[in-house]
Amino acid sequence: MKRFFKTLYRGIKKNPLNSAINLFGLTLGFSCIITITIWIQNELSYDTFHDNSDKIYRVHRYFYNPDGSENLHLSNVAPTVAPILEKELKEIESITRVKHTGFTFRSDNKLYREEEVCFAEPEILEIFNFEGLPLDDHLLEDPLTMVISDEQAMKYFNRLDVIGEVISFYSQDGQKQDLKIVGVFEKWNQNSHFHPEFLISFITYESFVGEEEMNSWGSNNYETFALIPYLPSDIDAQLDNIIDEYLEDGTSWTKVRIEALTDIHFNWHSNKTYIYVLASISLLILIIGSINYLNLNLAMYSRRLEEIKVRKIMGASPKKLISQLVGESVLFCLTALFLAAGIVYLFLPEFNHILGSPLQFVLTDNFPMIAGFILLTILTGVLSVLYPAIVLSSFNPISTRSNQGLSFGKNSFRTALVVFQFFVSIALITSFLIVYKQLSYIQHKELGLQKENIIVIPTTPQLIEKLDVFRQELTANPNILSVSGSKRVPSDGLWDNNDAEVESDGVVNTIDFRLPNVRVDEHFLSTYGVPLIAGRNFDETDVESSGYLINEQAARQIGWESAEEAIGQVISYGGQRANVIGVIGDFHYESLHVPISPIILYKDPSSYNRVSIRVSPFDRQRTLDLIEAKWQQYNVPNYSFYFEYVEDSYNRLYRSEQNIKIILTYFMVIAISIAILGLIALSLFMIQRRVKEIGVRKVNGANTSELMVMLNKDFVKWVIIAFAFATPLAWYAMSSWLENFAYKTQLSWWIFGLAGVLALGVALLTVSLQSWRAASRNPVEALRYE
Amino acid sequence: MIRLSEIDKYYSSKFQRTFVLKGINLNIDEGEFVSIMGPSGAGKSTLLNILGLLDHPSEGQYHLLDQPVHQLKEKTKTEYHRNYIGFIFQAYHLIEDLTVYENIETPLLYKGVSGKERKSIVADLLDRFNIVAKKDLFPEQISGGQQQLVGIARAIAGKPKLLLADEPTGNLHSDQGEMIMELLQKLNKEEDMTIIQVTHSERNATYGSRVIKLVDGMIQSDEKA
Repeated sequence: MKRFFKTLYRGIKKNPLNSAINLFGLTLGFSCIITITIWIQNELSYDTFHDNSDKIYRVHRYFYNPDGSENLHLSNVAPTVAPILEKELKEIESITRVKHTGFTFRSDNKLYREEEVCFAEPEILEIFNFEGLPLDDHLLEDPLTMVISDEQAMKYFNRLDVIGEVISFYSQDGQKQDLKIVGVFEKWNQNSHFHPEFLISFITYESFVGEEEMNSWGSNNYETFALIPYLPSDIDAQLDNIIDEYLEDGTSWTKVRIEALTDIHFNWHSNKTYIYVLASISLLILIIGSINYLNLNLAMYSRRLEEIKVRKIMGASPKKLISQLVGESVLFCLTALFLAAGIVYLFLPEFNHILGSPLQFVLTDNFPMIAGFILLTILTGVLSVLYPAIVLSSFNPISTRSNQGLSFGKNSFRTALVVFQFFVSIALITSFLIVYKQLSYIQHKELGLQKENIIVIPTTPQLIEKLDVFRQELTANPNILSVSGSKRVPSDGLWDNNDAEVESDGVVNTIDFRLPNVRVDEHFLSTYGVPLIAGRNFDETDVESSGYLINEQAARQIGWESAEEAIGQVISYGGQRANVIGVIGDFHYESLHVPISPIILYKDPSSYNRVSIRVSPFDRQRTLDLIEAKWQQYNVPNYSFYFEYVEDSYNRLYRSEQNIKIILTYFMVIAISIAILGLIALSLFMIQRRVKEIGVRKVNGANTSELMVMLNKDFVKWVIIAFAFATPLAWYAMSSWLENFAYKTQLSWWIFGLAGVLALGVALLTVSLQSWRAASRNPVEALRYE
Repeated sequence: MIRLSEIDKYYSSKFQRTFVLKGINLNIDEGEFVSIMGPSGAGKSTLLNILGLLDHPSEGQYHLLDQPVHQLKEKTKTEYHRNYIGFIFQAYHLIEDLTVYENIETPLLYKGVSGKERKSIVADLLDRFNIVAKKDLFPEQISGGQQQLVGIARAIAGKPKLLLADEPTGNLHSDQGEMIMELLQKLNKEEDMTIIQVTHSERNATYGSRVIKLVDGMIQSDEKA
């Protein structure tokens, strides 16, 4: 055994370049695998920490167009759904509605903006795990009571025994309300699709919003969780029956369905495809690293042929030789794994920082993972040398006497390996270029509005009432250009919808497509730079019923030939009849994943939740300070100010694509550098083997450039073969990726060409460095050693 | 000890057989020191390889220590390499990554000799060949003659009955060559080791007790020295 380590150590010392390249490639390969495994584990861990995780389901809702196509899919449902399901579905053990909201709390004369506030029914406490609550069956049953997380208890009171304490807030009408704390629970630090910090009794919410809201089928703002220990197989049919029972002909336009708690993360917030893609890419990188290892081992083995031959003559059995070679390899791979673990440990924080991910590399409680890695490593080590080891050890010692080196199956095996490396590199380069092109397309695509320099702030009815004064005072500052109130702002979803009819010549036609509304004031168009195509904008005197603006898409879909034709037409929207007073240009309210939707705009000051402010790019901080000061002045006191840029929220729509781009960049760089290193070592080896041939050719009159052509020819051929395989694959993969976007960049031929040329360039440069040295050498040197 | 009868070695191509060895009949007794001589291409090395079980004859029978070794399986041949046959090469063929000490120790490892015993055998050999000072050096750090000493030490470490040497002095200058030949002679005389060497040199042949001349794969003469 001691001998074994010694031999291994000396082998490394003797071939430092090859060993370093091998170690580098394998280490990076393992690092990628480890990182991706941690990431996948993290992805799979969402919502799994509750005792009932596998029995909890969330109710979600579909809406359908009159033609039967899907109109809208919501993760939240109406408040009416939960009580009905509880009554009708006997399998449900318990069910709760959760209303998420943001709040400004006040405690000890300090203001806190909180985003993780939920109104929830008492059942939430038995459905989910809330550790540490007092043993009281009646928690969250009384109005104005709440339970809070231990972290918040520390934040507000700097201690944990806060039962009986009070946190207050101001309702929108300026009333101060006190919320009594009745329990403290351990904060959910695990991965979860929601992270409640404050649970306020649902009855509190009901008393705020009133009976009408609670009986609404249209207010889909309630996340609804049910505990169903035994899910009936005909659950979908049962749900349809229930809907039809309570809503006449209900399932023709809406259905509810349930989804497992543990599927929520993938159904709504992540994408399983990305997991498969990233796992495959990291496996490919490991394979590339192993190919280097295998290839360079083949090279080193042909130098060790002498040794192996002698060992055989002295009585080493093939079994013994194989086990020595395989053992060396496994040990080498384990070293790489060890290094990789260190690298991951060091770089994971950086990785998290870039991707905004919460990954942790914890070894202690992760035995199956460690065992898996070690197994994978051993497998890699065995597979990478098994073939050459068997070939070597079954070699007849005397037939290699002349020591011309090994040729493993005419080198076609090795050629295939190198072609595979190029193949992966080219495919990755191509994919990267296309992702890059698509994202820059998104970034630079004309959205039909100007998203830059718009600040969005929240608002209250008090501010809306005085919006005109607020606007006048702000626009007095030359850096504030325009101020507009609206219910939502572009980059949000088009969530508000209503029935629409068009009247022409006394005939009423129902509009059979979804026509969502955007409720804005007369300053919206100027603030967002949306052009008016025909007719007029709203003016100060207009009220809700004064008229509608529609976009060109809506005019087209209704069937009006031109924007002008639309002006003056009568639309009845949600029962409100009014004329179309103007047609605006199409703009991307939502992300470029979806096509531009037809929309209808009208004034509705009572609904305004947001104020958008167009500012100049200069003196930003002073402008913000001014806005905040004015905002405080016109708002109910005791609200904390916050703002965001529309441009940022637009960018957030492409967060997962941005992440893919980053990861792909890393993977590509890693894959290519491993491949380049492998190429360096391989070309060095192949050229060394031809040193004598080169010498002889030179003596016979070949010049350096002819020799370089001869030496480089093979590599060029390999790149071309790899290119031929990689291009269709990359084309297919990237076309399906681009299917995610309604607006996509073109898969121009030059991208594929560029990827091929890049790979060829890198390969030629790498190889030429070696071949030039060999070809320009004095042939006498090469021949002297014979 | 060695009995070859009607040994042929040929390579077949489509239309003809090329004979390397043809009709070799040869008996070698224990304790002989045989030199095989002949021009290039006469089949000397092939004959030595067959004798050392590195190659097998196309036709004929080979009895080694009264065993019909032409019928042996690979596995058993390995046993013979471990226990009965030692090799010395023209190019020494020491393992570059191992020290002098480790090189000598290698066959003992394969033979399964215990650690303590290995130590004493190797120490004894180092001492006998006067290379104790070199034991921790690597082959490339010592002279050709010393490398061949190590080669011989390694070959006899397992106490083989038969020592095969393929031009053992071919890469050495004459002084060193002489030293090696004297050593082989001593091994033959004092330890009664059977030695078969292939050589080009008439002079080297005089160290042995018998000279076999091969021409075109056939024995031309077989004389006691």
